[in-house]
Amino acid sequence: MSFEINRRDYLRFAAGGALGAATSGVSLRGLSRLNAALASEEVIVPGGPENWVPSLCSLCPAACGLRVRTIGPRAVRIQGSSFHPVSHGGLCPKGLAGLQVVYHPDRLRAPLRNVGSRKSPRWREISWEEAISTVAARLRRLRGAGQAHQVVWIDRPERNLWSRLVRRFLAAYGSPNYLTMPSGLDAIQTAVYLQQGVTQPVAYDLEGTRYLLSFGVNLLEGWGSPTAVMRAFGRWRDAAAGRRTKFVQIEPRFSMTAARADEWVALRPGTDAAMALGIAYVLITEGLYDAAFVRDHTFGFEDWRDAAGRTHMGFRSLVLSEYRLNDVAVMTGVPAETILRLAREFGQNRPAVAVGDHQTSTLPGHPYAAMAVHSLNALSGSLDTPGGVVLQAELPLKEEEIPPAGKNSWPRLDETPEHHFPGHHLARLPRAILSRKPYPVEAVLLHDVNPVFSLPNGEVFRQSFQEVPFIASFTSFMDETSSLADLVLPAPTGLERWQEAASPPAFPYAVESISPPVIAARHRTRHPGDILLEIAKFLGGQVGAALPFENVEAYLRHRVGDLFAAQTCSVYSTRLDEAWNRLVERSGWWAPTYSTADELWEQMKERGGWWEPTYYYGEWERTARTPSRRFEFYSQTLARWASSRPDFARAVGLEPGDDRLFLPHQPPTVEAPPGYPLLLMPIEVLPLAGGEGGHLPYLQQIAGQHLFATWESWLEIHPETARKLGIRDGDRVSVESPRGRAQVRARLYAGARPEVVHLPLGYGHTEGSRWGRRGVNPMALLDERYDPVAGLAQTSGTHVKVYRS
Amino acid sequence: MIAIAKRISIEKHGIPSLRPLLTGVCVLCLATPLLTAQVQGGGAYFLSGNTKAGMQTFFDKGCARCHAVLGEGGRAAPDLARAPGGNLSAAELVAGMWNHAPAMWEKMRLQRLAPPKFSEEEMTNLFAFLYSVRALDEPGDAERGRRLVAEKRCLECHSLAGQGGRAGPDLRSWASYRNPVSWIQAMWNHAQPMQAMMAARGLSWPQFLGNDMTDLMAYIRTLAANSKGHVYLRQANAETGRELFRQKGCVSCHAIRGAGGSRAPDLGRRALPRTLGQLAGLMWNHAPAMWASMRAQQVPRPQFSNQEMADLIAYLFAERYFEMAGNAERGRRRFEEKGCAGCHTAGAKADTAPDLAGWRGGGSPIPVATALWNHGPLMLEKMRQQEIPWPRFRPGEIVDLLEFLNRGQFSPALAKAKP
Ligand code: SF4
Repeated sequence: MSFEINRRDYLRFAAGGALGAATSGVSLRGLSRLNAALASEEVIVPGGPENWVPSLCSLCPAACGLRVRTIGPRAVRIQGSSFHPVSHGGLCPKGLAGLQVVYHPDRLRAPLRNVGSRKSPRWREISWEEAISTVAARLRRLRGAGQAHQVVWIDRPERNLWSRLVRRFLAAYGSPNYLTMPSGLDAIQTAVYLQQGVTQPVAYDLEGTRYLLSFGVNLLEGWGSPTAVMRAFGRWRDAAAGRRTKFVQIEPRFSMTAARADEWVALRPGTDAAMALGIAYVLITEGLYDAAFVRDHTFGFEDWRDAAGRTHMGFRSLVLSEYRLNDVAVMTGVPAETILRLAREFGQNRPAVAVGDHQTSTLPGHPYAAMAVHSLNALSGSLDTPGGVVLQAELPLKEEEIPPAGKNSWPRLDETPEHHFPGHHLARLPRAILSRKPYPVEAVLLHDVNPVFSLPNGEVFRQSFQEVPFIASFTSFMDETSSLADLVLPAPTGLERWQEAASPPAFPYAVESISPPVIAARHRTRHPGDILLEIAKFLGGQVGAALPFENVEAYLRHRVGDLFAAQTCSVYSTRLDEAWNRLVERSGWWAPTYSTADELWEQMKERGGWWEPTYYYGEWERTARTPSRRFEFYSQTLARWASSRPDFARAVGLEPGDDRLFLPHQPPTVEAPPGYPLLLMPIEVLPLAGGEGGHLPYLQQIAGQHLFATWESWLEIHPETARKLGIRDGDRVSVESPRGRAQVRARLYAGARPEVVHLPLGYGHTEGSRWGRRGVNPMALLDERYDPVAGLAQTSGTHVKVYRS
Repeated sequence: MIAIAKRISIEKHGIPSLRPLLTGVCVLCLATPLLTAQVQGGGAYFLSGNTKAGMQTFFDKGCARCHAVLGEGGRAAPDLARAPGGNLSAAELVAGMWNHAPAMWEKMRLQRLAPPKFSEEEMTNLFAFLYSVRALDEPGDAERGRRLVAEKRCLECHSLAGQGGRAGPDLRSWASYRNPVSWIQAMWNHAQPMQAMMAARGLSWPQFLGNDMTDLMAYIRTLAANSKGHVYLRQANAETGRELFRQKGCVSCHAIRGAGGSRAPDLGRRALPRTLGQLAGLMWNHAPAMWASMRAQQVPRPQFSNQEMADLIAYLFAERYFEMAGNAERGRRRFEEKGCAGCHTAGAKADTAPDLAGWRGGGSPIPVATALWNHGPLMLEKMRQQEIPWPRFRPGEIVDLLEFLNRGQFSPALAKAKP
C-alpha cells in the first residue's frame, strides 16, 4: 500500500509546530532527527490574514481547549485555551503535536475501496457518492432481510453527543451492537457498580484531596484527563495557598508518576489488593476509619445474617483474619512499618482518597483489587465528598424516545446486557463472529478504533474479521484493523471538522465542548457524522425520522437547545467567572450570559463550550443504588449475578458459597511457566498515552525521555537481571512469550524490579504512518487472560524470557 | 441575587421614604460605577460586572491570602462572607474594616506584606463584592438537616423517602430546587392549607432561623435519587422588587425607613439576617402574624411567583446597603470625642493630616475605606508616635461622622489646636 507524500506540506507546518512546542516550555530534548530532515528544506511561510480560533484537541478523550493561530488557510500554531474548564490553558506534549496530525504526509486523502482480498488488500480511490451509497445500500439490504441486528458498530468508550447519535442510529436501525473499546477505568468502574450500584462514570475531586494513595495508576502519564490531573498535581504543591497534599505512588516500577510523587512504594506486581487490605487492617485495628460513615452508609462491614438465617463474613472479619500486617508485608514485599505508616497517614488526613488498582488510560486493573482500593475510600468516608470519589455529573440532555425497530431484543454480541457490569467485553466479539453464535455478523462499522493493534487478542480479531462479509472504517490514517475493511472512509482531523466532547474521564463536572472547523478539510475527507446522517436519510423511514438533521452542525445545534432548556450552568469563561459562578450557583442562583438558545450556541462556539461548575456532594440516594442503598463491602449485586452462574466460583478459584467471592480480596497471582522467568508488564508513557501517537515524529522524539530512548521501543530491564543474562545497555534482545517473540533494544533501568521487564505501548504498527511502524507492539506477546468478574483483559500476567538476539 | 447594582436616582424614586437616602451617603455613591451599574443587558447580570471586578480586586490585592469568602481563600483571617454575622450595610463594612485595620497591618508586617492600596473604583467594587457574597446562602449541613426534620416535625404531614405523613407532598419532590427562597416561596403559596392542617393537628408554626432551611434542603437532597435537575433562581431585580413591594400591598403595613404603613415593622430599620434565604425564612416565620393582621384589615394574602419572591427579597437587601442618613450633630461630637479633630485641623498640610473640609458632599463609606487603606498605615504610625490610640467606631457612628463631613460643617472652631 502506498500513498503519495506531500513532503512540502508537512514541512510548512512543522516550523509552526516546533515553535509552538518551544514557546510552551516543553523540553524538546534533541529534535535532531526531525530538524536534520528539515534543515535542507525550504520552509514556505503561508500568507493571508492572521487569526486565533478556538478549537479542541482531538488526541485523547480529555479534549483540551485550544487556541489555534491561522494564517490564511493554514493552522500554524496551537496553544491551550485558558477558558477551558478541564485544561485551563494547559496542553500535554501530545496536544502540542496536534499540527503534525493535520499536515501528516501519510494521512488518508480519499475514500478507498479494497479491490483485492482481505489478506492482500489493493486500494482504489473512489468518490464519496460511491462510498456512501455502498454502505447505505448494504445497510438497507440487511435491514430489509431482517438482519439489522447483525450489524456491529465499534467505537471509542466515550459518552458524548457523537455516541448518542450513533446509538440513536443503531436503535432506530435495529441493532443492539454498539460496542466500545476498553478503558483504563473499567476495573474501578466495575467496583463502583458492584459496591455502589451505579453505572455513572466515576470521577475524583483530585484538586480538593489532601492525601492520595495511588495503586499503580499512571496519574501523570495520560490517565483520566491528563491536563486536569497535572493541574491538580500543581495545586497539591501550592505553597502560596498554604496547601500540601501528600501523594504516594504504590507500584512495582519507578514510573514518571512515581518519580514525581512524594513517596514511591515498590510492591510486588499484582498484589495491589493485598496492599489495600493491609492498609484497611491498620485502619480497622487502630480505629482510624470513619466509623460514623461506615455505620450509616455501608453494608457488609460486620458479619451479617441473610433472610434465610445464614451468617456471612463481613469485611472486618475478612481483613482481620487474612490480611494481617505481617502477612501483607510478605505478600507485597512492602515492609510492615511502611504499610503501618501509610495507613496512619491515610487515616489521619482528610479528605483522603485511594485510586486504583493498577491502571493506565487503556489498561484496566482487576475488579477485586479495585474493590479493595475503593473500600479504603469507604473507610475514610471519602465517597461523594469534596476531595473524594464522586460520580461524574450528567449533561441535562433530553432523552428522546426511539420507536422500537422490529424485533429489537437480540442479545449483544459481546454478551453484555445494557447497564450490566460496566466492563467492556469487546474481546468476546471474535468468538461470536467465528462461531456465528448467537447469530452471524454481516457487517462491522469501525469508528476511529483499531482493535487488531490495541487489544491482546488482536490477532483473533484479525482472523475473525476475515469472516465478516462487509467492513467499513471511518479513520484519518490507515491502521491494522482498517486494512481489513472493504471501504475506508477518511475523516478530517480535529482542526478540520466540527468537534464536540463531553466530560472527560474521571472529571467530576458536566462539560460539553463544541468547536467549529478551524481550517478547511485538506483532502477529500468528510465528517463521519455527516456520512451517518446521509445514510440515515437514504434509509429513510424510522431511521431517517430518528435522525432528521441536515448535518453534524445541525445536530449539535439541536442538542445545545437541550442545554439551554435546562436553565443551568454557564459558558466557558475566565477563572474569575468560574469562581463567581460557582459561588452563586452553590447558593441557588443562576447568572447566565445568554438569554436564548441561539445566544448560547454562539457563545459556546466562541468560548469552546458549556459546563456546570458546581458539584453537589453527599447526595446519597444518587451515590448508592445497591440493594442495601449503601456502599457494599460485601457486594450483593455480585452475589445475585453469580447465583445464576454455577461456574463463577471455580473461575475465581474459590469454593461455591465462599463469602470472599463477593468481598474484595487478593486474586491469585500468575505463576511463571517453566522457561519463562520474567514477568512482562506493558507500560504507557505520556507522549504515547493510550498507545496512540506513535505516528507523530515529535512524540517519537520525546517518548522515552527518561532513558533517552527515541524513535523506537525499548525493553526496560533491571541492571542486575541484565548482568545475569549477559545483556548490556543498548543490546538488541529477543523477548519471547509462549505466544510470540519480538526483537527490541534493551535499556538497563534500575527503576524496574529484577523479576519484571517492561515494554511501552504504542509502538510496532504494521500499517499507516511510516513513523508508527517503529518498535514492537507488546500486545502481540501477551497472554489472553480475562478476569472472571467483568471479563477485563489482564495484561500484566504474561511471563517471558529475554536473551540477546 | 441581590441587586445592589440598582439604579437609584432622584427622578426615579417613587417611594418618598427613599428620598432621605439620596442625601448623605447615597448621593455620593451615585457617582461610583457600582451603584450606577446596569442590572440587565450587555452581559451584566444581577450581580453586576463590578461585583465580579470586586472579586478580582479581592484576589489581586492579596485579601484572599488571609481571608476567605464562603470557604474560598486563605484561612489565616475570618471568612468575610460569614463573619461578622447579620446583614452589614456599607457603613458597617467600613466600620469593621476600620476597627480591625491595625491588627491586619500588623499581621501583614509580620509576613512582610505591604498593605495594598486601592483606587476608589476598586474599593467600590470590593464593597459590592463583599456585600453581595455575604448575601449568598451556603450549601447546608445535611446532618443538621436530618435532625431538623425531626425537630420541626415536618414528617407529621409530609412524607420523605417512604416515611412520614401523606397529607403533604413528598419533600423529595422539591429536591431539585436549589434556592432556599424558592422553598419559602412554594411554602408561602401553600401556606393556607398548611396552616389549617397544622392547627387541626396541634402543630406549631415551624420557624426557620439561620441556616435551617439550607440544612433541611441539603438533607432532603441526600435522599433524592434524581440528580439531573437543578432549578435555580434567575437574577433578581431590586427595581422590580420595589414595585412588587407596592403592588402586593406590603407597603400598606411595612415602611422603609418611615415611608409606608406603620402597622408592621419598618423594614428599613430592622436588623436583617445575613443571607437572602434567611430573610425569606424570616418572612415565613412571621407569616401567621402577618396574615392575621391582613385578615383583620381584609387585605388578601399576597401570592408570589418564584421570581417575584426573589425580586422582593433583593429589593429589601439592596435598601440595606445604604445605611440611613446619619446625624450631623452626633457626627460632630464623634469627631471630637474620637480625637479626629486633634489632627485633621482646618487648613492642615499633607505632612500632618488632611483638612477634611474637602470631603464636603463626598463622605461615603467608599472614600473612607479607600483613604483608610491608602493612608492608614502612615496615620497609625504617626498616632503611635504621639501615643494616640486608634479610634474605634460603631457603624452608626461612622454614618453620623460621614453625615457631618458631608454637610461640610467642619470648621476650625471644632478643631483643637495641635499641641
Ligand atoms: S491531555 Fe489529551 S486532549 Fe489534552 S492536550 Fe493532551 S492529548 Fe490533547
